[in-house]
Amino acid sequence: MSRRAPRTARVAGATRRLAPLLLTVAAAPLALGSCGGGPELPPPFGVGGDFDLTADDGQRWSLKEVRGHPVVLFFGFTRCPDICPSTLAEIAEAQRALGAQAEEVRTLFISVDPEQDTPERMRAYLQAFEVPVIGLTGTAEELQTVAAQYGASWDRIEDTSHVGYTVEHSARTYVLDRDGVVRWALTYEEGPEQLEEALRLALAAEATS
Amino acid sequence: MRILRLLSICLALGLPAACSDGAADAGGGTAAPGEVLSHGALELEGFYARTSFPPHDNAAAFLTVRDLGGEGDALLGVAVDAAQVAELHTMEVAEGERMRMRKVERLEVPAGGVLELKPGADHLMFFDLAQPWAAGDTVRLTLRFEKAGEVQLEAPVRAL
Repeated sequence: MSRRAPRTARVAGATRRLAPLLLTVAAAPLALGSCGGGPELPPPFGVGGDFDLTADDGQRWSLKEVRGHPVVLFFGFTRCPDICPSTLAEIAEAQRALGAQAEEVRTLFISVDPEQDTPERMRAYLQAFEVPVIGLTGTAEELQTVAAQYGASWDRIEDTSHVGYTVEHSARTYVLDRDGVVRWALTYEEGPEQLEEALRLALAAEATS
Repeated sequence: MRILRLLSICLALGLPAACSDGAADAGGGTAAPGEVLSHGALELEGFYARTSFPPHDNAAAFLTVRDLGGEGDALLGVAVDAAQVAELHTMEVAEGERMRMRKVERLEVPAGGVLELKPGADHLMFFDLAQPWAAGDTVRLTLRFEKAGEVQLEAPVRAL
């Protein structure tokens, strides 16, 4: 699993990895026919859908509430010292690069640790990051169901560490268009440049529903 | 004038570096933030900790360990002045993309090679923090190697 190389290497690597995305976007009109109005998004990734969970203010919350906005969504937990803060930092970096238009983006952090991640804990944690993030939690069953909807999964695993358990979880970052359709499922290796490009396209595309 | 000339000769010959008691060149000493530290057959560098996140019950630190001696070594334990509990952790990718952290009892330094503790991979993990770890702080790490023994480092705390 590659880790973050020096910036020049990352830019070069990102450009290489971005090429297929750009080619896909460029080729899409040939596959889908011209739709008119806005850039062509990649085809639906094939996962996703609406769900209801509990937000970090303690209220029930539905994905429908952000219909009309591009959405960045990923699964994590607040006791994760590393991957999750890094992902949030990359999301912040991508939105910073987009400037004012990034205000339309909605970022969702869905917990995979219902035991620890109460709404209050999530709210306190998410305030440490530069972008507004909606924290979502719920019962283990609800969180398993939503993860499965997005082709993700997680497991609570007992271990010998101080906490007594850890959570193993998929680490993709999903980008949804304004209609709530997942168009990108970026892997952990794909960095802020790919995310920025996905958000740029999602912002430029108009809602159709 | 003569003093200045002597000083300039000293600098040209690099004598101040040899004469100083800077931490970086003393094996087993305490290294200041940002230094490269020699410790027995090992070289330690790039050590830093990450800021903790609310509610500040855990934190992580990273560094690179290079084996110059060719025999290899293993990191067996860690302690820190700013937390009660310190562990060695590894990060695995299972089933192609599932991330999993796991506490381990040792991290190998390959013979003639490098052990790299970095975000997303092996790391030092801390619990029961004495206070939130904030950017600009320094934490004192004590690392225990199987062959090279104990060494102390001052690791700067950095934001993401």
